[in-house]
Amino acid sequence: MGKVIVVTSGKGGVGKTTTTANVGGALTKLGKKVLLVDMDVGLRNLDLVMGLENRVVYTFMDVLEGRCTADQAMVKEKHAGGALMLLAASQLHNKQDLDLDKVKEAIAALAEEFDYVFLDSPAGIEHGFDASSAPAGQALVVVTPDVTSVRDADRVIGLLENKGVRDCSLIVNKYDRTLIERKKQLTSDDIVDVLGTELAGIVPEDKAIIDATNRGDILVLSQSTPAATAYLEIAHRLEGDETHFSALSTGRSLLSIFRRQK
Amino acid sequence: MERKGFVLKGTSQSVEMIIGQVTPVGDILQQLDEVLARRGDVMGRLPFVLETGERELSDTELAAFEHFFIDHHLDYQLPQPEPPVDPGEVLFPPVACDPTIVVDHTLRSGQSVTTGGNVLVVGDVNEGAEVHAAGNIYVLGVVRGVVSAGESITALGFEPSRMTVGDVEYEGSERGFRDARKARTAFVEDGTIHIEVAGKRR
Repeated sequence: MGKVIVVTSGKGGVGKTTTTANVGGALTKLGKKVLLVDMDVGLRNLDLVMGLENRVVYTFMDVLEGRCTADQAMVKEKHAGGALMLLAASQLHNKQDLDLDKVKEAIAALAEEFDYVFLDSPAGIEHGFDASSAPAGQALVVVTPDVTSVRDADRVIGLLENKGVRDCSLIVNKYDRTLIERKKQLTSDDIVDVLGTELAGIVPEDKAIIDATNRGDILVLSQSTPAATAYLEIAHRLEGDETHFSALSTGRSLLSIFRRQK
Repeated sequence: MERKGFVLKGTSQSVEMIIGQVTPVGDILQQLDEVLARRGDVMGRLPFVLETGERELSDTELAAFEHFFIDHHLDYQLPQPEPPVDPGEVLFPPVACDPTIVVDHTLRSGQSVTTGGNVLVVGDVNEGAEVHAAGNIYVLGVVRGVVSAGESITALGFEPSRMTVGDVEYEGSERGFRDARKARTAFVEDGTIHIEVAGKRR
């Protein structure tokens, strides 16, 4: 039985979908079999980020409503040699059409075939979020170093705890060292201090992500930039390995020197 | 099932009507109607006193009886609510004692606790969370949300978005202040809020 992980944030635009694609991609580099499920019914994007938009025939909704099997609906990513699969969201339905029991049942069945199943949650805390978190045993909460994103993450972590998803960890995304040194952004310590939640990774601001996303390439599978390194670190941490936070260790702060020596 | 919905007991002044515990009121009234049709000449002159025993009638059921008696031109007396028991001499006034609520996690944005007693939060009260207590609030963490207490607020850090003790509003914030080893208490003295190391007050 593989791990079922919801990737969520509350706030939109923080990078849930890119994170899902890259953390999933990074895990395939560690030899894991990974399924990514786009739960953003009506506003799907994960297929674009993975460059699979022309290959989607059936969607997760078709599986739930019995129009096809999961095997027929899953689409293979090009570079991961079959280890990374996508279940796309339907554009023709609403989030309300997701039946929580059916979603749970279907995801539980799929978790038997994969090491990891990631549920890419839509923004917000409504039905789409409910459907994405219901089957999950673990959550990755994506935050950017802004007060708005941190407040929304706090709300989402509270809601996840209420639903029994107690294993939450944070991914701080779009971490910009120059802005942080100028005290224009929250530091990762500030964020962890407020949220009191374990850190799964810090992904630095990296122009290569935007470029790769627009081309439909998963960064971590095609390049080795600082952000790609950060995604690999997250994959290692999900596997239980201790790694340092490379996004912090290029600076001159005393803390980063200690972290580097680990 | 009761065989009869009620028993009638005649006295010189009234007819006592003791109703059964389960028979529906509609059935009782129908049976009474039949009895009156046969013996109304005797009983119709005396007032009916309704006795319900243990059974509690709803307002609609009582109204049904009332309508019935009025329709049949009968005097009647419905059961009266019991008069309050004289408490005797009160030695100690009753103490309204709400227990202390223990929240064993950080209160996050959107979560709130309200009580007439005290609250203990084992964690922070984050921005967007609220705690309201008539008594005291104890936070084993930092207060960042909205808090109000009748008596006092004890915490490891005060960065509230809004904090009221008694009816005094706190207007400061100690953002960046960290002394997790010493809890401090916010209380009201001379109409302003003071924050001092906890336990040193009395």
